[in-house]
Amino acid sequence: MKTSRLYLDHAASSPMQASVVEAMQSYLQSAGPGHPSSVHTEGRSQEATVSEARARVAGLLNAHPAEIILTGSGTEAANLAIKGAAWAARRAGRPARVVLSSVEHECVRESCASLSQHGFDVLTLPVSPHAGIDERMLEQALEQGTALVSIQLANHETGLVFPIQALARRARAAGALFHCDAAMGVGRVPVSVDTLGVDLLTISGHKFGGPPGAGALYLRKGTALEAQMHGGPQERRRRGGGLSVVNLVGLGVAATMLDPSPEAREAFSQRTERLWHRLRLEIPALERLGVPDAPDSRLPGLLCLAFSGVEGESLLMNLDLAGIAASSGAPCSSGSLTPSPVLLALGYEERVARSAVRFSFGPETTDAALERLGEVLPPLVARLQRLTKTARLHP
Amino acid sequence: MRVVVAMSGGVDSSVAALCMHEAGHEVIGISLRLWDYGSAGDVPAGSCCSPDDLYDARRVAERLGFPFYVINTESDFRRYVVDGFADSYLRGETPNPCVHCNDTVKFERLLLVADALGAEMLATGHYARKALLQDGRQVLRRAADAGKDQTYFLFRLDENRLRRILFPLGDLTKTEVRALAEAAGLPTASKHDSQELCFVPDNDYARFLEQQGAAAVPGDIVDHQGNTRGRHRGLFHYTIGQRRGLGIASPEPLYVLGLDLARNRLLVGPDDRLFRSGLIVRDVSWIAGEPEEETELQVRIRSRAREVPARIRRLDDGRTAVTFAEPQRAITPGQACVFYQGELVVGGGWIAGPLEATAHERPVPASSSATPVLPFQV
Repeated sequence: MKTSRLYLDHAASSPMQASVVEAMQSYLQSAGPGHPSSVHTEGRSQEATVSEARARVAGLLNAHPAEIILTGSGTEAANLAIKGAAWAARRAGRPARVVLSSVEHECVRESCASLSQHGFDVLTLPVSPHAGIDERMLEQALEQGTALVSIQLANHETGLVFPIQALARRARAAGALFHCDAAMGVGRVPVSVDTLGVDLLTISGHKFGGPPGAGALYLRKGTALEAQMHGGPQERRRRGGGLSVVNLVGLGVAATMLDPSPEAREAFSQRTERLWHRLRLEIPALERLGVPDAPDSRLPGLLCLAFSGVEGESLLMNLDLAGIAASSGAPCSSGSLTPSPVLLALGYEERVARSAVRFSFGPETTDAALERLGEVLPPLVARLQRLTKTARLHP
Repeated sequence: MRVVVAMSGGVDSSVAALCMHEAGHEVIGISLRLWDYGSAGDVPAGSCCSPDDLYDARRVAERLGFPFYVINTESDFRRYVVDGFADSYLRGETPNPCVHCNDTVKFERLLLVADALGAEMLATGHYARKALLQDGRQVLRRAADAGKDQTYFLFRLDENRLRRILFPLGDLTKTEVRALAEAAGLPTASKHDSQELCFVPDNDYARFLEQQGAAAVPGDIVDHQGNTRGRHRGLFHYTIGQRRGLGIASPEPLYVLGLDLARNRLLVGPDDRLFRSGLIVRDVSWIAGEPEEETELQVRIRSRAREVPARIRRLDDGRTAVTFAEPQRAITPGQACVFYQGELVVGGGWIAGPLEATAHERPVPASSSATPVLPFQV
């Protein structure tokens, strides 16, 4: 009997919602040709489709459609936000300083790293799981003059949720722009740009049930941005080049499928905590990494767990062979794993970081599925822990 | 049964995987990422285990339909193989990192992975075989294809480890292996064999050492009669028996006879001076127990050398003296000396130096005869 696979790696890429797939299929079957910028009927029809997607994304974020720039991915949106805003600010005479947290997604981290190659002063704020961002350092940087602060809504490895509203307020009071990478937060916690009070916010379609190959940047009206992709007049000259309309269709539909109600979040949160507690009871020395106790600081649907005496890599392979998909660490280009820079930045020892595995799921993941994880994991961990005890030690 | 197959991305390991798969085993392909090749320009052409090679391994796994994972062993490789490689050169030796790698990184990690995955056996694409002794223990045996035999690099596989290893290619010739790969439509069927050290681009190990921070200190070249003949570029540029690159005009050909570390001199002389009656081996390991005193064996003193008859005897200091039936050429400290009994590999160790040091040669440095300096000793 072949059991179906259990996919618990939504944080890397989430399964597309059925209605998203349907909408995309329907578009592909019925849509004709046409460039959205063209004068003719076909073009206008495409433009209308894109416009509808844009409006849906705007609705999700509580923004105005004119403030939404559509992109080909979340990474592209983050690059545009950070480099676009930093360069525009610098040309307008703002200080060439960018501040980010030490646990950002690599698209934010690398965008900032590239800015530092061009004479920007890039400052990384330490983060601890319990105390959060080093706010004193943030204050210092703001006092010295900062063009842009970039802090994620929720951490993609551990699920740590940041107090964006308060951080953005501080930044903007000091004349700095605030960018929030909300890729992990969308669909799990409320993401309203006016509540958060940010200048820029980026999302990624395939993290919340949409297709890969679609992202968006919210740009508060009046914020200067230098284009990073130069070409046609699309997106009001802020992002040249056509986009895959079918992907945008999927992005738009996914944006409307989310349930932002507090009840939904609460239910999702409780299921996550129940899973955590069950595993903690059955697996000795199990540690949950990177989040404090306060429920508001924990993203629902994500558990970063450290299994004492076990190589995360071994656990992942065994889980895969047992039909369960999860992830850990930072994959390198050849596909092997290195300990997560985020976990190391949070202050965990390399030994602990190497024993960490991330399980992430969505509101639609069934209780039966989570049950199955609860059954498979403890004996597997026990076997690997026994092996470690008896293994010959490397000199 | 569940079998881990070590996949380097070459045709040999691809066919090893094919054999295991066709035999009906549950194959799990594992590649090791040993070294960070950085930008594509630094990848040695015709090397092993580069990102391109891992890509090829992945394609083979996909084609044959079994799971495939890449394990990162960069820090172990750096520590146990690369650092030791550099240290060895700086001690005046010519090291063989592939033996060390097999012993301390590849097989070590692969067997741990096999344990972790609940796999009974590990299969590799080495040209080697196993043999069963009368008492049921297993030893290593030369491959059927004598020209491709790789047992020289595997002599550190003790009986414990050997029991868990399979060598599906041992009875095949290279030609047969390629034919199997082609018949199965494997993407690696016509791939060239790796010829070089996997982490040294263009086999330019001197440049590699300099990049690792070794300083080349020029010094005198002195011949067997004590005459100064020229200047050398730094001792690690030379190996015993080397003739080219000495930069000396001479009526008769001159060869490197030895590296005098203490006085930073390169010792050269005519070919006949390279022949020695025996050598001393340190850190000897025996696959299935040490043979009797004064046993007659065959020894291979270089990977490309043939086995030659010799007798061995244990010395008081724990090292082993090897006396050849016929004098052998270019005894090179740092190379492996592997002991055979007919087709069976019985053990081996590292060459410390020639059996009797002559007057103009510096005796073998004390440091390499006592407690091992190299970090990868097990």
